[in-house]
Amino acid sequence: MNPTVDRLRDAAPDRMPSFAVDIEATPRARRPERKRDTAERARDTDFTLDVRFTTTARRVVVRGPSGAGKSLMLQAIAGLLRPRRGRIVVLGRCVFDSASGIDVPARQRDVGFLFQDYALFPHLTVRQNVNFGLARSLRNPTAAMRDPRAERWLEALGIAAFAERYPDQLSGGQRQRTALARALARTPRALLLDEPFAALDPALRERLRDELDALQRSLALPMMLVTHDDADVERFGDELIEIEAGRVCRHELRTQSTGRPLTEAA
Amino acid sequence: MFRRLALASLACLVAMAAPIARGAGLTVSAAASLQNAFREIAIAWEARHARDRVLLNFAASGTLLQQLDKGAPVDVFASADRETMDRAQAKKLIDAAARRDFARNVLVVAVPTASSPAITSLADLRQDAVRRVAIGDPRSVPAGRHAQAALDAAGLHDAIAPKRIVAQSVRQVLDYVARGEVDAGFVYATDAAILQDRVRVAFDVPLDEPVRYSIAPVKGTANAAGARSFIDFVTGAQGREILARHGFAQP
Amino acid sequence: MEPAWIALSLSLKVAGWATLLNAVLGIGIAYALARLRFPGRNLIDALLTLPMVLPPTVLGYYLLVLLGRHGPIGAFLYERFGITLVFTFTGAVIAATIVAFPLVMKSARAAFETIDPQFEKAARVLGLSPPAVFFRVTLPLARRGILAGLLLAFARALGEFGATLMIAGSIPGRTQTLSIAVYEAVQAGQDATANVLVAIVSITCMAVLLAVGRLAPGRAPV
Repeated sequence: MNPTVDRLRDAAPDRMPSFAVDIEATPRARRPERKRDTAERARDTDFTLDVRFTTTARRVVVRGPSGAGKSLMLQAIAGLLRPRRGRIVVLGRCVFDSASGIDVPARQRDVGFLFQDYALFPHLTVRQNVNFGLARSLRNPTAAMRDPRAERWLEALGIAAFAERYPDQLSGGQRQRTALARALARTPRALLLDEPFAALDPALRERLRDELDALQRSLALPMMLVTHDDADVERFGDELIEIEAGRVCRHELRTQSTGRPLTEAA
Repeated sequence: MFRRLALASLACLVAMAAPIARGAGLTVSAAASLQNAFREIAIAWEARHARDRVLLNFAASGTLLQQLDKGAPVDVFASADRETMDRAQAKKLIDAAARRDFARNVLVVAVPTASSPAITSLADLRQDAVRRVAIGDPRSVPAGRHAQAALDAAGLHDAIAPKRIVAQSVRQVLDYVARGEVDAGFVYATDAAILQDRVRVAFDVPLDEPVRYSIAPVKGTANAAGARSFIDFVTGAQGREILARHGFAQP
Repeated sequence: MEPAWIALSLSLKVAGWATLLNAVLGIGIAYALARLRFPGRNLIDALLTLPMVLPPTVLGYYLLVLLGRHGPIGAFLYERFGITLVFTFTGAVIAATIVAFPLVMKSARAAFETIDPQFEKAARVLGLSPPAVFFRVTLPLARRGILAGLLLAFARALGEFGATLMIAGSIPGRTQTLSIAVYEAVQAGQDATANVLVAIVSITCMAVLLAVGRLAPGRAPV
């Protein structure tokens, strides 16, 4: 464990850890009968994900090369993947503990998730997408549904003008904002983002970083962002965790400003 | 890899193109009830005529007639009644001069061996306990035609109509009875004899005209000599002996 | 041509019921095969596809042996519930259902497997229960493939002959479907009737194929 982190934690003992992760997971084995050439097999990550860290920061960045396992870890935190063994605590709530058989299903973990390719439902309009998590029945939200929670986010993220459009009619930036609105509509307790800017061009990225930055500060929403882009680390990495070949190789506290008022230590 | 595939395909095509029968074959279309008897006859005839192989085609007589009508390359036609042969003659499909009657059969009502309702006459088929009666399609199965005629003559047409299960051949009727899917079925005595362990004869069906089997060479056959030879065999001493063993009486 | 229309309406009813049953069974089983992993999964898939490759008469024979009065399933049904399947409308529906089942199952499975898993993951993390995920995300995204499979299954059930003839017989108004009626008309030398029936079947099948063709190309959901 990093001594700097320990010191700061001891200095502010009443700070609840935002994320406490201790898991071991194996990526799902591919079916052996699928023929793959040697090049493909070489690229295949044949590791076990074995990470352990605790953080109190409200803005955490997880960085690592492609295939290092960071997406897997994020999905495990969200409940989309079950680790072989371990324990996950989000904002004081244990959502997974293999020792005591706790495994809260993804739908009850109350976290927002932004997928790398946004995963916007292609058969629903922007508004229906944003309303998606607000409707719990077996039927999708109708096009006419106007829930104030969704409407608020459509306005706030500036996509209300495209609310009737379908995802394939949107630009990259509009899609990202829609995905964000969809995740936030349910007022989750934390937000997980999987390379949220990777699919956008650099100029757009910077603009959307600004937006996300402002959003996170105004909501004081704990956030974990997975990336391999240094610019994201600069902007959002109050605490940085580096993962390589399935293991944490660096855990660094980069700044004391964590987007949330601190009871300061000397 | 492509080369291997090409060679394999070529080999398959050659194999498929090779004719199956060797020598001048003789194709015989015979009524379904003649299956067992004619198989034996065919083997015996082939033993005498080394170069000719007999191809047997069994179905209801009416079905066979339709095949002939549509140009099936058949050399000999053997039907389970005169009526179908008359129709073939009317359509000029057979060599009428060489037509002969060669066997007689008895129409019976057969029931599954394990069946309970007592059936001793056509009228007994009326019972509620008899729910299904199998009969060949009167339009194409001679046994079915005879059976329907007998029922009509006994005034039972309407009573039995809702219970009728129409089958495509007399052997199919036999199968239904043997399986217990029907309570009774109209078959020939010769058919019932084949499945004695599963089927028993309830009674002989009284008919206005006897069941007479006809045989004739098909017109325009490539193997006219073979056809005539086969028919001679069937109506000759050895043929008669084989037929008798299978329960067929002489015409 | 009364018998022709009776046979047509019967065929439509049999095919309709068969397709309905296959929709429920086929989609359900396809989803299980696509999403669950268990030993013998591919073996089961092959077994369930068997009716599509078996000669219909062989299939009909198996059904007769199983469902007949003295068959393992048939005897049980008869003794316990007094149900007979041979020579009944239900028997015809069963034959048509089994014969067309693989068409629905295989296309549904392929459709489900083509769906990017991230859509279902997104739905789960947005708070949906597994049934909700299935009806709101999985099924809509697989809709085209499934529909094409259902249409083909309907056409197949409509044309079913061999297995139906074996287990359901040919009872006008009850089990004498169009294909069987054609066969019998030909056997009985009633060419005029046969021609009408064949025309009806051909037109119906063409219509189904055209409908399937309209579903296959065109924009699939991104």
